[in-house]
Amino acid sequence: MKILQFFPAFQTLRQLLILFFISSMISSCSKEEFYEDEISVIPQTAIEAKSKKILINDIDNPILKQVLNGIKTGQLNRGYSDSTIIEIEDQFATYIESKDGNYHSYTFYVTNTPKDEGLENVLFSLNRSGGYDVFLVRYDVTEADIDALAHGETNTSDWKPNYYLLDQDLNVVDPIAFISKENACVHVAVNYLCKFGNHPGGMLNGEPCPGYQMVIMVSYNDCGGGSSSGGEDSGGDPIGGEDSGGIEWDNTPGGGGPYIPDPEQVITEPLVCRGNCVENPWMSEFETQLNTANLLSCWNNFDTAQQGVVEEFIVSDYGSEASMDFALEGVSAICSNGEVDWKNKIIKDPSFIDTKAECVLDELISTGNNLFKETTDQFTENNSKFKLKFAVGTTTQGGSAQTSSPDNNGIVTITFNPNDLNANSLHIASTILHESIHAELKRIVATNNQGSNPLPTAYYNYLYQLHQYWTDNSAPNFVWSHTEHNYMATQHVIPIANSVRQFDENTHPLENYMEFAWSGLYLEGLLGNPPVVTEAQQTEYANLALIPLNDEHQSQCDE
Amino acid sequence: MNTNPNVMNNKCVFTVFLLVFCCQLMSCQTEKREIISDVYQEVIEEFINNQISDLRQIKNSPPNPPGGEKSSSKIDIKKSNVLKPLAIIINTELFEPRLQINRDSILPEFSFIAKNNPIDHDLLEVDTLKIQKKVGHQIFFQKNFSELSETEKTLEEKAFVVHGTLNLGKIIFNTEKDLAYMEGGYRISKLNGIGFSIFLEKKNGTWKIIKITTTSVS
Repeated sequence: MKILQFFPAFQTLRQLLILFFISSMISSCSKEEFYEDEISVIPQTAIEAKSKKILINDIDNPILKQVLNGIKTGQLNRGYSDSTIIEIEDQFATYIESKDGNYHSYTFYVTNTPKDEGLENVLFSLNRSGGYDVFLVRYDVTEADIDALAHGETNTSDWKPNYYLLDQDLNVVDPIAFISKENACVHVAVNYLCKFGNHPGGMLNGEPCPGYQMVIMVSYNDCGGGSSSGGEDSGGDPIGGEDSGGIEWDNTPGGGGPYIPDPEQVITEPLVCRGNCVENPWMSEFETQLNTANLLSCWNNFDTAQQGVVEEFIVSDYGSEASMDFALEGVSAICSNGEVDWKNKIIKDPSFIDTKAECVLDELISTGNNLFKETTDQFTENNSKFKLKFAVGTTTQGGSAQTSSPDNNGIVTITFNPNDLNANSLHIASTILHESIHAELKRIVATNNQGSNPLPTAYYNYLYQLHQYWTDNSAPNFVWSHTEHNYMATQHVIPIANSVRQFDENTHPLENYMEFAWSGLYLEGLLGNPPVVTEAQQTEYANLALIPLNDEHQSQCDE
Repeated sequence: MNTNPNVMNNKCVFTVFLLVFCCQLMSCQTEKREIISDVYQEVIEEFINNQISDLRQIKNSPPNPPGGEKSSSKIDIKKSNVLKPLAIIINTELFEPRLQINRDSILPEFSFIAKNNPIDHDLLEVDTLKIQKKVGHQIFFQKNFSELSETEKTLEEKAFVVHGTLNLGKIIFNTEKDLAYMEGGYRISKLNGIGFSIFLEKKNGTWKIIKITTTSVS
């Protein structure tokens, strides 16, 4: 220190170094400056599969149905417990399908699991040979956990399933294959009536069909470990009269314990039923989805009537994936102060509420505007997986409005540019109609012209021809825009003009509304041969539109 | 004038400090500006050169609907209003990305777009003259479309006179600064255009668009 005091230059040097360091710290191109803070992260699912609840009557799978019938007429016994014959709730199941469609499974709820013995499901898991491996799946969880699951209030991702394989040859249609002796080292026995009686040919394994109730109870111990509560036959069975264990196909090292399937090949999720599951098996699943989307607490604040409307919506469509997705979006909108028109299946984003566009939309709906009804009816039918959502916000092209492609939940969003919402309601009405037609055309293409009111074949082919034409004559990203606008220019101008006129209570002749209908379509109209519209008509229509725009007749939305 | 050597020293130190600080800041800003400018340059050039349909190239009219027969007298597209000077309006007030992309269309390496915020900056930093020379079209840069003059608004709404309007959003970069994501749209009238997502990658020091996804139509 003394040296520094004697040599001021040293002090200066020290100060310089410190200042240099500080300035570097302050002004360097730090990551924080360039990339700022993190915002939300899109959740990723570990397994690319989607599940839904289904009623047994909806299962279109003869093998599975036969096996289920077998279970109903026969019985499943637990092998790991003294107790009881397993009873499953066979009226509904959770159906899980992998994203690539190559795998699916059905999970059924076991209704009579003894209290405090966890949760049990029976799982039918598609195997590589096209049949099903059947497992009893046990979760060692508490009654409180199970109750929470029933109300969608718990995350089950850390619930570890224990699999007890029943048989791996269920691709054989005859459900007797359940009890193939070769697969004897299983932890659940099957108690089954040979429905064919003691007939020639006998059982699949060549042994005579006993013609009476047959029980196989397999010892846990015989699989090389674990505790056993079975280990003895529970009924005079000529085949299973003794433990047939010892065949090791338990894949755990050293044997014993539950069979652990390859998680890549077996996908299930815990299923529980409380209350009116059979009448409406989907609400617990819906509540699980709400929980995942962090909407459960908001949902619990809905009054009974509000929840009833949503439940009715889901039940009326038999808990289809589309109804679940829409209901989830709907609840999300309501929780964010948006609104849902459940009858017309339209979601109103909070940004849309109390805007002039909402007023015009409500008027189009309440007056049963022909074109709007015809167009949006296609979205409201139960089978359509596409639904409409209206919002106000940035339009990426800066136009008056835009229609999105369907999102992962099948929601097509029509967004209005807030800068254009001061326009006359006739403009807004035509914009809503224009965008709704875009949405409908997207639905038609996505569904390959399915729905209650498909395009006549000739017009669907025309749409296809237009697409071919614009593929050859425009940049790839503009093909659909030109195709749709071209189709609308030749097919929808008069209907839109009529609808806007209807919205204006038929105050003026049709010509006065043509400008609204042509909005956004002139380019493709001019390109036709012959042109669908001329430049002279364009000017004329613009002038004629001034009459309804400036007359005294006003929509309530303009007041 | 204070000639105390200590005070002199302090002044000197302060001056040096300021110099160092400014240099650091400028160098950082330059780096940032260059990156941003390069990305927009690539996007604008790509759009004008390859993405926008130049309708002058169309040789035949679109097919007619069922029952409609083509006229024997061919429309001369080249004489129609469609061929008014090809010019582009580009906004300079960049909008925030909407991030309403279908998850299936996101490339895995672009998952950062959900985590990082877009950069705040000004499109005017792009070398517009350079772009104009390269693409050969007239380009108007406007701060905000709502601030267009009445004449310009009419032109824009009527389309064709001004060929179209390119609307650009802010850029989101990954941490390594070699991947970028932005949104934008192009319209030829208020109700005729598309919205898109653009994915870019920097290779050998040059930004290249690797994917464009159409996200909306108006």
